[in-house]
Amino acid sequence: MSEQDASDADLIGRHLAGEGRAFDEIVSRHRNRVYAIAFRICNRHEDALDVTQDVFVTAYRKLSSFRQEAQLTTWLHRLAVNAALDLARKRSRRDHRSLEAAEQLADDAPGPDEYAAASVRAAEVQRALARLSPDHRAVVVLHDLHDLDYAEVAAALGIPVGTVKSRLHRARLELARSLKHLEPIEGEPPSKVEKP
Amino acid sequence: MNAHEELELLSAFLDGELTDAERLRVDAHLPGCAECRATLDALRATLGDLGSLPRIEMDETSVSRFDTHLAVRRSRRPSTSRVWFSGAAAAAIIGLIASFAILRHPAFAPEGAPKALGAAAGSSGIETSDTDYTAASARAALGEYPSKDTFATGHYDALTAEDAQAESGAGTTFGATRQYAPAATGADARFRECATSVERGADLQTVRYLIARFNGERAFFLFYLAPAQNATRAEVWVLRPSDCFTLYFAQRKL
Repeated sequence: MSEQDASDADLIGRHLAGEGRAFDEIVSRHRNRVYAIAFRICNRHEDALDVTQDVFVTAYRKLSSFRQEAQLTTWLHRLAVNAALDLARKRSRRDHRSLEAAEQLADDAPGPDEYAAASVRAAEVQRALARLSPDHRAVVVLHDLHDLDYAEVAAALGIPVGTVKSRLHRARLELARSLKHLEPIEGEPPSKVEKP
Repeated sequence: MNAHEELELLSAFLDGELTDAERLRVDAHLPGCAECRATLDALRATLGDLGSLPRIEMDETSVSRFDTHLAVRRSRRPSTSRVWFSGAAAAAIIGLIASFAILRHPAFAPEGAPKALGAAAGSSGIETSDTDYTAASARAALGEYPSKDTFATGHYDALTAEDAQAESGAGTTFGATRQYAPAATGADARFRECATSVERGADLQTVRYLIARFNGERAFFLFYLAPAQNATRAEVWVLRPSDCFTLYFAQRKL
């Protein structure tokens, strides 16, 4: 069977049977997706690389206890999001007590040139996304940028589908206000509190 | 459901995640509610904006660095299974072996004091030396690694297999039993394979490869800078060439 045809389940089986290259194929196959999720949540290239490392080291160690009827990608998503959120929350707590500081972080976030926004508008969208609280950012990243459906987002985040629904809605409304598709709400302070 | 609970359903409406009953309710509500229509337009515009974000991909340098670092971290786990040291395809390894020749390396490094890390070999060359390192002098060579900040601490974590047993509660682990499954036969060919399998990260400025001696026996040294979340560590791995068995490992926090 060529590597292309092997399913994730096949590769896991082969890894557990002692075939060294099987895990390398798993990494190769999923590394970029994990990195992309981590980058959009953390907004820092080095942090995203660290998260991606941690995800695959954990996967390597725990693959033997992975329940094979569950999807490997769901598990990797969960590991990626949890690790990225931990890091994003730490930075958010340590460094930022204000909206200006969060904006500063978004502007300073270094990244390879490939991520340079194709347009001024894309840069604004990136900043608006970076200003969301980590929990709100996570649902938008998974659903709107990575095409997971509500059930998959719920499984990845370990929250009920109803929470995904309301959190995603609030996150998008916040983005819409940042991006001027909606009027800002009079008197509402910029909120860094985790919303339900 | 009061009139403006429909507002809360608008995202799920766009995503096709409502029940049939909920969807019909929203459909019926929209023509009469300017606020909901405006919100729906705003959500659509926002989704359009999100769609314009560039696709994120790891660049080649990051991929190469990542694979090397992952291989190093994976090999730390106590493991009795035979694993390949890195994810290089067989063809790539063969290509590297063909292009790389230990025997072509020029003169050895000067004898005497352990050679410190400095500007690391930027090319994919591997140095050879007659220097006979000990654990202490290998650590000393590591200690001179220039860091971009001032040295945070002078703390050395020197781990041998025995130390690792004692340290296992401290969260650091050291796999002294990683076995390498070389395809080639013959001691020199296996040595080259061990060397070239880690050479994939060699275009990094922060890695130095050295063939020298460790406690009298010929060994392969890998000096490596490992950036992590809150610290950077400089590390040295000493590998036995016949099977890439890790003889010694030390790290220093920068």
